[in-house]
Amino acid sequence: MNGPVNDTPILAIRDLQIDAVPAGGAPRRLVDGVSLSVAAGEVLGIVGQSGSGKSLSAFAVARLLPDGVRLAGGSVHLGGQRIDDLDEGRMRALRGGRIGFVFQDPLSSFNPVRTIGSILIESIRRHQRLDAKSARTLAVEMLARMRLPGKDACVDAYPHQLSGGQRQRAMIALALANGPDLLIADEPTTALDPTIQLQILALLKQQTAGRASILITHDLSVAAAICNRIAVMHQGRLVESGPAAQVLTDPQHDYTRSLLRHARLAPAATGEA
Amino acid sequence: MLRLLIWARDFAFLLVATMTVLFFLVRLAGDPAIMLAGPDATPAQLDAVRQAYGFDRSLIEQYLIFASHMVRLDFGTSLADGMPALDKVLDTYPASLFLAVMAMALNLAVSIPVGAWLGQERGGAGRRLARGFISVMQGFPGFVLALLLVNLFAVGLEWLPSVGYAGPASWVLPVVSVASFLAPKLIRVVEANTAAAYRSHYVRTAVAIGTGPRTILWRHVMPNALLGATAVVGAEFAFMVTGLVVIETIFAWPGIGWLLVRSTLNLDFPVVQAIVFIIVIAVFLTNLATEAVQMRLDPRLRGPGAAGGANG
Amino acid sequence: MAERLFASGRSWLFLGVLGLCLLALVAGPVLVAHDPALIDLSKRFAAPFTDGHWLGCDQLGRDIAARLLAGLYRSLGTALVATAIAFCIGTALGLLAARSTSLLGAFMRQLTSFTQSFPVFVLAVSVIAIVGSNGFWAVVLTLGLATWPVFARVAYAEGSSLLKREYVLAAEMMQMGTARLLLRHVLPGLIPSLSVLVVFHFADMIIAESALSFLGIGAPLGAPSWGGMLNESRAYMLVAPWMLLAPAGAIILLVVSAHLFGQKLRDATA
Repeated sequence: MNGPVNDTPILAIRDLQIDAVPAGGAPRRLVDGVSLSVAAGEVLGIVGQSGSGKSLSAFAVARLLPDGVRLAGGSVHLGGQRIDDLDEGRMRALRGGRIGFVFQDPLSSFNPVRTIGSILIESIRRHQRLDAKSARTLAVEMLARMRLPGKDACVDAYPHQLSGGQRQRAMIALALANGPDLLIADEPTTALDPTIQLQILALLKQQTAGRASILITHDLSVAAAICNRIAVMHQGRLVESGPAAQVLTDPQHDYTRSLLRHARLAPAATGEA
Repeated sequence: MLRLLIWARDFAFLLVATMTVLFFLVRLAGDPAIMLAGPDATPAQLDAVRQAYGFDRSLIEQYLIFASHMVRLDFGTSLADGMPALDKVLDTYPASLFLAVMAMALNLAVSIPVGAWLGQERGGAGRRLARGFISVMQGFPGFVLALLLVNLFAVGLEWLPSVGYAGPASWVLPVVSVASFLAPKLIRVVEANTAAAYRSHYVRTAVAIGTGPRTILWRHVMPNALLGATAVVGAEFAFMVTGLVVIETIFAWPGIGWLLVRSTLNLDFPVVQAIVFIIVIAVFLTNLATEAVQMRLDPRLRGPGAAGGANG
Repeated sequence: MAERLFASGRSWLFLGVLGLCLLALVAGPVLVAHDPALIDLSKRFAAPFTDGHWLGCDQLGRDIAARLLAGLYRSLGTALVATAIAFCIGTALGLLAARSTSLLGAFMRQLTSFTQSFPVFVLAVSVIAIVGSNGFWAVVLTLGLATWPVFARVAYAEGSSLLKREYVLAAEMMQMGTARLLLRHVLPGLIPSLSVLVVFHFADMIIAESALSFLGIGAPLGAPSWGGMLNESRAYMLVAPWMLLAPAGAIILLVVSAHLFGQKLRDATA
């Protein structure tokens, strides 16, 4: 993509291992030996089927794992500092602070009985020392920047009152509220209508400038649209990674080739990446 | 506005249907003239009583008279003591409502924290023990429990009075008895809702913005868990306003359930009819209040709001 | 499903208690060689295990074990028949409402809320007075007639969704009659949830029967019933706590084990 790519990566994952630990059962390896790095200004696409471990690998960065799943090995560095062994309190300070998340389904990801703004303000006040009033002002500003309509940019709207695209814009505002170094977006367009998908991708592309970003998707065409590097995961392992243009035009691995056959890529997309 | 009309229609139907069925049931149930005149009354005396109270007219005639009086909220006088029937009911209802409100307060005070605690995690010996206990309590017959509590605390240990409605000490056993058969169900619902909220995507979002466990519990999980529990709370309250017949009998609690037992067994029609009339209204108001609370708590039921458009 | 059902001890507890009840019904008269109605004032308040009175005697010197057994016939009989009545009426009406136009559906809803706010107790007393002195059938009819909406609600809700399934639509297109359609294609799909309801309802009916007889309704005066025994025990709690504990224990054992079984059954069918 555009802009210079810094040499020291913002995020470096080395030899990541993730296990499912069922109650009373033997642990089962879900992710094995994944190493990735993302530099500032770079958008890394992690591509794979559901169950390939792509979301787990990215969520493991902030130890955001479901019950019964745990980090079994490897290391994670953020801005040169090791973070996988941080205690829960310090990790909490990173979540929503230096690491922002965008989730797949913006309707279920917003609390149905809380306004969009109240979640945004909770995040802002958690990470920046602001009083309620300036936090609200910042929340409105963030929402307006994501082009939510109205004088207050829907800050007092409940999630069900917004459209799918508006909710995802609000989700992106939430992820970026505290100016994170790392943005992790998990299938951010999958739950949306095709026309809205393009708008959200454009918005994401615009917001990734200057920070490290990870885009998790099963859809190579989405990755092709905004990523400058692509990593392909299959059955918990990294099977291929490299510059987007190279992976898309000259795939080395059979699995990548089969993914490519099934994706509908606009010729321009491959050329641009 | 349309909702209000539907409510009014449902309510009218409910009231008329209940009162009609009740009227014919109690008229078929027995001859109140014998009750009034006494078992030794001569046929002439019985006839006099029937005439005085209008029991000699045809059932349809009696029903029409009853219905026309009911419209004016006139249920006649008690056959037992000549007091206006509705007054008797309204005099006893506060005691029943008091019991219902106290029991519900205790129920909420116990069920919400316990349900929230159980819903947070699956494992642990303490939680497993509590779940087992609640499973057993769910099937526990309330009035048998009340009797056992009386046996233990009033008769055995002599800590509390076993009957009556005089002062806080006499309230303890009735309130605890009622609350302890309400609580297991509510605990289960709060537990299930809490656990579901913890598995939800919106709690994952809260974790992802760095919110701590206490804020997650109180500001993200509980509002949703309690919202789901309001229907059960409403149903439990509706059940209580129909009269806790057995509990009030056990504790000689001068409420509507206790009055219902006495009036029914004495074939005191006017009082029974007035009681049922009030109960139908109370159940209806309870359901209405439950819906109002749900509307208040759940923004999704309030319809599309002013903020933001629906397109974009 | 059966495997999951019997994986835990709870289900066996209920079946054990049920078996015990059946055993008591069959072998009871042999084990308890006393007449439940026999009054023997010399044995007033006899403690348990004296003179062959396993559970002691009451205020009139009647054998409590024998009365408990006689009450068991009454409780089980009432609960089984009342549950069957409620099941038949409720399921039939619920399914019919699910099948037919919105009008009957609306009527069903009204009828359900009507029975909800109608005090069962008044109904019981009236039916008993109308049916006459035979308290057993009066109680059974009352409980059955007052509680069928429990089944109707579930049969209506689940029947409605089943009727939208493809195989039912296919049967409908073959112009199958309503009765055959409901019995052959819809009812089987309701069996899991209805059987759970039956177990819970059975427990509720045991409680309801004892509550009514506790209030002195249904069972003729002096006839042995668990609720009646509980009521009589209240005056003698201090001198003869076994008069309370025996029927209370019997009700609790039967109801709680049925409930635990119902919970397991629900988990297994979920």
